[in-house]
Amino acid sequence: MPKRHLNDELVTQPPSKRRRDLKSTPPDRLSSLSDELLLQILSFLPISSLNICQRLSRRFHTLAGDPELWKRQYYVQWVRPRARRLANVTRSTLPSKTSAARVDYSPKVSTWLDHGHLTADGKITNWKGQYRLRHNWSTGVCRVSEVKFTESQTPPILAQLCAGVVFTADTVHGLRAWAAKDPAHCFAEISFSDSVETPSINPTALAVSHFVDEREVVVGFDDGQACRYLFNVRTARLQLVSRHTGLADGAITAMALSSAYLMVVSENKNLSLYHFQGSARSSRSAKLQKLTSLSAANMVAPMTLSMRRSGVNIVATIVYSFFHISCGWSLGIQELRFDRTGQQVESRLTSTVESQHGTLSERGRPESRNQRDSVTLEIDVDRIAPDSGEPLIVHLHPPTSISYSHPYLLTSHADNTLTMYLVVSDNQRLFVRGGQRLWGHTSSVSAVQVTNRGKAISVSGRGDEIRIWELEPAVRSLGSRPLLQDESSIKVHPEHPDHDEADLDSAPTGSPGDIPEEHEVPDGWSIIQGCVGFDEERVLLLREKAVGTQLLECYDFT
Amino acid sequence: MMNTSRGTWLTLFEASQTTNTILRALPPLDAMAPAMLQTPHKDDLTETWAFLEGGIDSVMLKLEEGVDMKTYMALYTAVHNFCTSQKAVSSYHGPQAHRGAHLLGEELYKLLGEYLSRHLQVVLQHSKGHAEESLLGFYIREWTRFTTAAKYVNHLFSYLNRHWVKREIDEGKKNVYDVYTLHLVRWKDDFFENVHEKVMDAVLNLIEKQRNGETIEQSQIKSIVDSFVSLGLDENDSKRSTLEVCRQYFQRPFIAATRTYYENESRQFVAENSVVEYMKKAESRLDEEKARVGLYLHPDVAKDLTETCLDVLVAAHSTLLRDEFQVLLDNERQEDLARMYRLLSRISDALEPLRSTFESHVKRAGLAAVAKVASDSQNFEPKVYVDALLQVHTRYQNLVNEAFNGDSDFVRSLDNACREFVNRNRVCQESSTKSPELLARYTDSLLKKGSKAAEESELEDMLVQIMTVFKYIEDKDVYQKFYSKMLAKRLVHVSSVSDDAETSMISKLKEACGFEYTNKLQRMFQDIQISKDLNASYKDWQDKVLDDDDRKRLVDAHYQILGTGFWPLQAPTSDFTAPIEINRTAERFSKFYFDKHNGRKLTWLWQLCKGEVKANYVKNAKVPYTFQVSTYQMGILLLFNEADTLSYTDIQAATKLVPELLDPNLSIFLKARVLTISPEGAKPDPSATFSLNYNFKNKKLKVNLNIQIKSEQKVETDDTHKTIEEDRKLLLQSAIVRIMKSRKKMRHVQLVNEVIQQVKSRFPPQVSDIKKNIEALMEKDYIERLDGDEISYIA
Amino acid sequence: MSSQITLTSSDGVDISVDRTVAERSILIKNMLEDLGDSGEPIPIPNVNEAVLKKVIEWCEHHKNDPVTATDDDDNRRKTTDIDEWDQKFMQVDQEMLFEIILAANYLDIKALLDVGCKTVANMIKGKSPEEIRKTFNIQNDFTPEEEDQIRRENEWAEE
Repeated sequence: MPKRHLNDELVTQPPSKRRRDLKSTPPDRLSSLSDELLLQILSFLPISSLNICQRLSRRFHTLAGDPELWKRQYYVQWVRPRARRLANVTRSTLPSKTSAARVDYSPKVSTWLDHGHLTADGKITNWKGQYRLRHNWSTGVCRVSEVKFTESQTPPILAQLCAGVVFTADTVHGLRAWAAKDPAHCFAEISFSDSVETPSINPTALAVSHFVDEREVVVGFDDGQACRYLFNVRTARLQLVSRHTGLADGAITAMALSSAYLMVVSENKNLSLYHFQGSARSSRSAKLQKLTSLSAANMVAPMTLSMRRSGVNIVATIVYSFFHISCGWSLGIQELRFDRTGQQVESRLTSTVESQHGTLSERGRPESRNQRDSVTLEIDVDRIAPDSGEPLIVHLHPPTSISYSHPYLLTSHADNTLTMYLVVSDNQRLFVRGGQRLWGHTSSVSAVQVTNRGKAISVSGRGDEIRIWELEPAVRSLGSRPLLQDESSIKVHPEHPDHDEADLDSAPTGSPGDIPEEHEVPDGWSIIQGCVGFDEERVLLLREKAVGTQLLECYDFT
Repeated sequence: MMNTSRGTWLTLFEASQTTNTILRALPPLDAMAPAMLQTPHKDDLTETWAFLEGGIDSVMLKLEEGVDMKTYMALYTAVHNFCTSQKAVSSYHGPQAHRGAHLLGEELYKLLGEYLSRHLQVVLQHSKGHAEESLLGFYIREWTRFTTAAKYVNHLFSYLNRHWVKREIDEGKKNVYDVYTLHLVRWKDDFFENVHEKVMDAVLNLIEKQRNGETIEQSQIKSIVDSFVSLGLDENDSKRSTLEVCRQYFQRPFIAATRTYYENESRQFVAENSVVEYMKKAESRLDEEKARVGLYLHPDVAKDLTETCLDVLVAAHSTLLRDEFQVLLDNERQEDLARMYRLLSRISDALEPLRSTFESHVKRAGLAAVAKVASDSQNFEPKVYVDALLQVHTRYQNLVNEAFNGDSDFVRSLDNACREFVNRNRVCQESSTKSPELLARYTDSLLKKGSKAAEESELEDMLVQIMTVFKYIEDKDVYQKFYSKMLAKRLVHVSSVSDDAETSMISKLKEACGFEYTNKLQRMFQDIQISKDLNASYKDWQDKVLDDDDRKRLVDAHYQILGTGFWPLQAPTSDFTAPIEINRTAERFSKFYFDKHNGRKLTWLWQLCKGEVKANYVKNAKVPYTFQVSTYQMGILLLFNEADTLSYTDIQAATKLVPELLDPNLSIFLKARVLTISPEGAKPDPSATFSLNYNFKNKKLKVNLNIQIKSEQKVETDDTHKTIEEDRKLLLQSAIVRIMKSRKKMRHVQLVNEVIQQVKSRFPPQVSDIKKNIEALMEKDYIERLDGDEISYIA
Repeated sequence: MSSQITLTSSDGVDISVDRTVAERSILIKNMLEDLGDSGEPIPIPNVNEAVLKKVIEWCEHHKNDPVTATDDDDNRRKTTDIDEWDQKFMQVDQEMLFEIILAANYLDIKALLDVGCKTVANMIKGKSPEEIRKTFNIQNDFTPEEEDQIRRENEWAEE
């Protein structure tokens, strides 16, 4: 900073030097400021400058890494844009509302959207770390690590991620729990030979649900029985709770689990819903009460099950694909509502056919039929079919996977696209709003997974292209305009574990343009089980080698 | 100039532990006073705090002496300097650390908190010397002093607030407040928690005194309430306040005390006084408590207070009150009923029992009124009956309006009760259609010439009253039937009291039941108007066409053309050969009419025609008598122009009248002694002969012989009832067809419900009747039964 | 209501100023509110005459600015742009610049403090660590290894 003398009278009189002892070198006036003033100055700097300031001195390292400083940066970069967007939506739908949602910065994290989990009493959050995590997700930067299961497995290994714990089930090792943070570390395992009556059976389905310190795991087998386990996170103990035989009339092919409700689908296309009687989760005497069962004559894979709470009710949803004469492969959605006592409140059915025709988004009033008495899973194509007209979305092949997390419904397709629908379900009606193709992949998409916060992960058939989708903006543009290719998804750019730190120097990450060809997928690897799951910090994929070796891949974004 | 030093103040604190002199202790002037202006060394906590403590003391204990600017600035500066002193805190924790900046001020904040606790300890000690109202005074004084000081200290420590405190709060730390709030928190924790019970006891005693009628100093309570409100701090946002403290420490004990007070009072009062007196008392207490909130309580308590009072004063005694209701009704104590309503309407579900009591009371009153009418005389006038109904209705409608505030539920109860006693009373026992019939007859009596209601406005009022009863009539179709018959007669016989009254009544019915209900009535009315014009043009026509000979024999006649479909009239039941004079006139008119309206058919309703004949034959009569007769009678009498004596068979052959008509008319002539019979004293039968009585005598010159025959009237009523059944069937069937035509397919149950909805404004249909008519329509192939319970329309 | 009040600088110089101007300082505003205007000079123990005059000059120029809400942080921070007058005003040597910041902080004049901090922030922005150190005479107290590690860790966010 060059000294500038002005004509100003005040400046010509040097201020009295009372504060600092003069040394021979000019004083470091900046560092002599108190912390609060330096923070004030730093608060006007962009994050790039903050990172530079951290390199000045130890004091600056501390101050420029200050959590409150980064918390504000985090808010400005990641929270406020969304809050604004939502506020605008609210304002446009409720024009009379004068007090628009507040989008000013507030140091109270609990007032931010969906960020309450980032603060805990008495704990100082590493906001710089959080910022970086978001930054990495948004640019697709991550580290990848893998765990190999060398044995050849038939049927393939089952895996689920649930709140930081990965559960795998296979005939040889039984049920195992792994740390998602470090998938090489196996917390606990429990062999099936101890728990099931006939040891030769194979696990065919896996469902997990999440409690504070516990994970409830249900494993379904190919003889129609299921075992319930509890995993305690603190003690890292896995224990068998109860065993239930005869839940299905054949191999259990799919399950969904939610707070004492279990939905089971058998290979014979029969679906049953059970309720665990008894209060305590760990109670061994828990009885399974069958609430209802449905059978589908012509249900075709893929399908997906979902259970959620809606007010006092439990909502069980089955999403399946079927062929519709005019718009090709479509989705049928059957929703069963149960009250707290397990009494079925209603059953209703809708499909994506109208959405695919684009006839629905404006009207918003669909035909959803109430069928209180019916216990068959109907796939009545003619009845669902709306008035004719060229459909906007036609799928000539069945989807490769379906993922439904209310209200988001996504399908992946071999034609390099995903299709997104929004399910509207309230006390009066059930219908599908909007239907939108999502472009971005450059090869066949084999799996997709979505969370109810609107984040989705999709994987290409060979597993060489993983994309992260933020669906909220896409929902906003439903029916108005198609999304541009790059605005809704980010390609994941993993740093291969083999890359040494030395490489990083020459390869600045973060801007997609100059990323070197990353993570070559060896020939003969292919995704089969697709996406195991993802959470705040990582994505987990299950691969299978041609010869049958299975491999768990962890993409870490921290 | 500041005149304290910390040395002195420390002594004061020691002293204040044992004595209660803190408020008056003044430190002596100290030689070291000028040193005060020297701000303490900023790195030295002890020195800084000692300096600050001295300053805070003077603000806290003797603000009234004032603080000078130098001291003020020195204190602020001391805080500022301490917080910016850059004490060497090792702030580097290695490259991985993310602890961030370290702001100074925590020590000052802690010491300030401790200081406040010490101060409040002293205040607490001091408070022990006070009780009741003196304690309230003490509390308010100390509170005012403390909060005023807090405002100063908050400003003096504003640098701490701006940085260290803000940072702590931003980081989400609990239990860190800005300095002013810290004062409140300390007050609450260190003082308030220890005295609030005593303070509240004093407050409650004061309020109880006021409830007992003494005068108290209300402003004290108001100050206490305000202080409690200020202590409500929002844990999540120090800038906002909540009413939690006030609710917990003031409102809860206050409400509890209120409850106890009024439980005792009301129990005692009820034991010693009548229910009516109690209601007055309760009402005045409720008003009083409402006023109390406005005077010195926080508005937030209003709801709880009112609810508690209502609970204790009203709900707890609601059974007692309700038991009194019947008594009050019986004695028609309108004012007390109103008070009971006001009280009970303020608690939930308390009015329902009153409503049902009221409903059955009204019903009983109505039934009793009707029973009295029925037992007083066998053949009562319709007016008496309708008046009895109206009287009951009016009395209780007034009660609902005056005492029950026009409460829509009571109005509904009144309507239910009225509907009951109008449709199902003693008079209706023989036939449920008796009420509409009587009402129709009463209407007729009002609208017929010669009714007693002379004044037009009076008549209008009575018609309005009729509509009141009409509203409750279930068989509205029966009323319609009778009404239209009687209207027809009034019109045909030109016996309406006025066109205006007729129009007014029809428009009232139209308003109540719709266009369809009055369509025919209106058409009848129109026919009469058209006929008037027609007669005028017929006269003109006659003047042009008739020759002198015709004119001589002209019968002065008036004609009415009645549309077949609209009038409730039948073609004559008997053949009749009209006398030649009449016949000629009638044919001439027919000719005129057919010229005008080619292709129409006219049927002469001889049974409704009438005329006058002059009796020129009577001896000893200076002026000839005029007989008013029906056309049938005219036919008989004119036969005697040719012969003085005629046999029964002669008469029958000439008139072609059936014996049912001939015999009674002959009887009328015999009774009036126009004719004599031979053999004498015989009844008219084929063997009898009749002679003209030349010695006829009557007081009047105009003799009305056109008297309605008894049997005719009876037959007419029976006919009306029969047509009602027939009409109902048609109404049901047309409703069914109409519904099915629009719905195409429907379930049986649904159809029945829909039909009931559609016709219930006319009459209450029986489900069995509806089913019968559905069957009938199936036979006629209008509709068919599908599988299950569904019915389908056949196009 | 533009009564005059007198401020006494730390070096004992009395400066007369409009009360409304002086009340841009929340400290002075609060004090006058608490004590009332006794007519006595107000001692400002931490600010010398030269700096105090400079601060008063700023307050005079900004006396008609709307008083911003206390926590309007977002808008303040959106930009480091400084209006032209303030930029000129801040063209002083580093010592004076920091004295102004200290005085604004002491007197609680938020807007002036922001201008000062923004001026310093602008001196940091876009510079390399070495350039910044040179600008402010900051002593590098890292070991070379530490410095290297921090550099690598912070690379992700460089522009």
